[in-house]
Amino acid sequence: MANKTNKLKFLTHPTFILFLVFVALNLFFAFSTPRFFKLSNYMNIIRQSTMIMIVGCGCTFLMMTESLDLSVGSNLALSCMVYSFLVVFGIPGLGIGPLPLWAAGIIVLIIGGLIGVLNAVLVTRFDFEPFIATLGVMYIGRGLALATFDGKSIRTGFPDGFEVIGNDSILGVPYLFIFVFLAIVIFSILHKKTLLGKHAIAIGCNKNAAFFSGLNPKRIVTRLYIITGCLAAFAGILTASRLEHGDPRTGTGFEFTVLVAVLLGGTPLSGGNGTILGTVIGALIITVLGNGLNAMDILKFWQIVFKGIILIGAIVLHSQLRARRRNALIAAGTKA
Amino acid sequence: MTGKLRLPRFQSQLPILVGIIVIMMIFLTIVSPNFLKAQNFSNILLKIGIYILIASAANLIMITGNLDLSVGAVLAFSGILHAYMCKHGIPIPLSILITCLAAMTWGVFNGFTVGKLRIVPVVATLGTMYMAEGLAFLIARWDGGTNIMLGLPGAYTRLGRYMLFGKIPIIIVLVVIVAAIFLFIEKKTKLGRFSFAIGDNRSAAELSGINVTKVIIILYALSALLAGFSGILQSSRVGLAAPNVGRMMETYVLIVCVLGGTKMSGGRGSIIGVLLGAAIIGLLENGLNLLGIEHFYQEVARGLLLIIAVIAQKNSKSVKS
Repeated sequence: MANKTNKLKFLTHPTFILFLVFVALNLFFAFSTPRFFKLSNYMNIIRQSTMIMIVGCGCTFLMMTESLDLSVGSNLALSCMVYSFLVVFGIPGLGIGPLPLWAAGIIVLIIGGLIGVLNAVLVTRFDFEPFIATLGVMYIGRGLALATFDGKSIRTGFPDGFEVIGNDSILGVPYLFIFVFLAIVIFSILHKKTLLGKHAIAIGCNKNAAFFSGLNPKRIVTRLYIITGCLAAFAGILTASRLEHGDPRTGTGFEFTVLVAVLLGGTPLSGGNGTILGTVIGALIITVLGNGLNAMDILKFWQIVFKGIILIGAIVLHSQLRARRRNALIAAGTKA
Repeated sequence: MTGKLRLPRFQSQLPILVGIIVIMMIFLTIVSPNFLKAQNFSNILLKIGIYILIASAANLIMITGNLDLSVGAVLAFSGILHAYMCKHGIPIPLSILITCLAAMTWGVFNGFTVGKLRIVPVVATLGTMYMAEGLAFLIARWDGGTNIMLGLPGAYTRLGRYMLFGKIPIIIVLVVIVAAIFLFIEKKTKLGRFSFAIGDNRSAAELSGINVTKVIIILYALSALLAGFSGILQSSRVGLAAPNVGRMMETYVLIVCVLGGTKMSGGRGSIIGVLLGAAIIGLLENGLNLLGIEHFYQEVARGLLLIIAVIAQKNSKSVKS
C-alpha cells in the first residue's frame, strides 16, 4: 500500500503537473496551426528561452533564499552594450584599442559580478528589501547601459567571430543549446548534490534557524547575487552575439519574465522550495505560449494578457496543491 | 515594530525630507535662472500630480505590507477605454463612470487574489499588470491604430484642461482634495488604523476581529480607482490615449512612497511623506532637465536616490531605537 502511494506520488507533484500543462499547450498549438509542430520551430523555442533559462537558474537559487533580483534585465542590457563597445572601440580613455572577444567577455563578466556585489551589499549589509534594492540597481544599470554609447545602439564595426557563440553550431548543435544544457546540469547538481543548494533552501525556510545552525546567510546570499549577476552578464554577451548588435534597450521587462518563469516553476517568493527543472519548464511554457500564439497569427498583445492569466492561475494552483500535499503528508505522518 | 498598536512616529523622518527639498531648491535657484518661475513650478506640479494621486492610495496598501504593481497598466487601460468609448458615441460623463468602474474591477480582483487567496502581492498584481496592459494595447488595436487620437469629440479635452478660477489646473485641485481625504482616512478613520494594524501584524489584526480581506480589497479598489481616474485625466489633458503611457508608473509610485518613509514591510508611512517624496522626485527630474543632463543619467540618479532614501530611512530608525 505504502509502495503504491509512493509510486503514484509523482502524479501530484507540482513539477509534474507543470509538465502536463506544458504538454497540453504543445498539443493545443500543434493541432491549431501547422506551423508549430516542427523541429525548426522547436529549435527556435529553445533559442528564445535560452536567456530566461540561463538567468533563471541563478534566480531560482536566489528566490529559494527569499531574495529576488530585478536588476537582471538591465544587467543584461549593460553587458550587451559594454561587450559590444569593448570589442568595437576598446577603452578610449586609456588609449586601448578594440579588445579581443575573450578579454571583453571577462571584463563584462566581472562587471556583472560587481552588480551582483552591489545588490548583495544593499540587501545584506544595509538590510534592504531585495525588491527595493534591486529596483534601484535596475535603474542605475539601465541608465549606464544607455550612457555607454549616448543612448544609441552599436551596429557596425564588429570583429570576425562576434556572432559565433550566438548563432553558430558545433556538430549540428547550436552553441546556445550547449550553454543552456551546461547551466541546467551545473545548477541542478548545485541544487541536489552540494551544500549550497541545501543552505539556500534552509535560509529560505527559516533564516534564524539557518543562522543558529552555523550557516552564514549573508555570505551565501552574497554569493548567489554574484552568481546571478555573472549569469545575467553572460546572457548579455550571448544576446549581443545573437542579435549582432549592442542595444541598450534590450532586456526591458526581462526581469519580470524571469520572475514569472521561476514562479511558474514552483519556487515561491517566500522561498524555502524550488527546483531548476521547474524553472526550465516554466521558461519553456512562457516561450511556447508566445511562439504558439505567434504561429497562430494572434496579436502579441493577447500574449501579454495570457501571461497575466497564466501567472495568476499557476500560482493559485501551486498554493492549493502545496496545501493539499502538506495536509496529505501530515495525515500520513499521523497514521504512521 | 512591537505588536502594540500605536500611531507611527515618523516625525523624525519628515524634517529630513523637508531639509532635502529646501537644499535642492536653493541649489537649483543658484544654478538655473529658469527654476524660480511660475511656469516651471506649474510644470513640476503637473508632472508629480498623477504620482501623488495614485501614491496616496498605493501608500495605504504599502502600509498594510502589500504592494500594487498594476497601477501603471490600469492607468493606461483606463485612458484608452475612456477614449475608445468617447470616440464611439458614448457621452463623456457616462464613459468616465464606466471607466472608473472598470478600473475598480481590476482593484477588486487584486484585492481578492491578495486578500482572499493569499497570493503574494508582487505576483498577483504583476499578473493584473500584464492583463490590463495587454487589453490596453488590444483596445487601441480594435480602434485601428497604436493609439487613439483622431475622431475624439471636441469636448474630450475639457475635463483635463479645466482650470479652476481660470488659473489652477484641475489636477492640482484634485491632488489637494485627494491628499486631504487620505490624510483624514489615515488619521481619523477605522480604515486607516486597520491598515497600520494589518501592516504591523496581520495575524494579530485578524485575531482582534479586523476583516483583513475587506480592508485589503477596499484599498486595492481605491488605488485602482485613482489610477483609472488619473488615466482619464491624463488622456483628456493631452487629447490622446496611448497604451504605453503607464510604463514604469508603478515603480515611480513605489519610489515616491519609499522616499516618503513608507516601509515596504508595512506598518509605517504617511500621506505627508508621500507629498514630500513626490516633491523630491519632481525637483530631481526638473533640476536634471534644467541642467541639461542626458536622460540616461537621470535614470542612474533615480536609482541612487531610491537607495539613498532607504539608507536614510534605516538610519533615522536606528537613531530612534
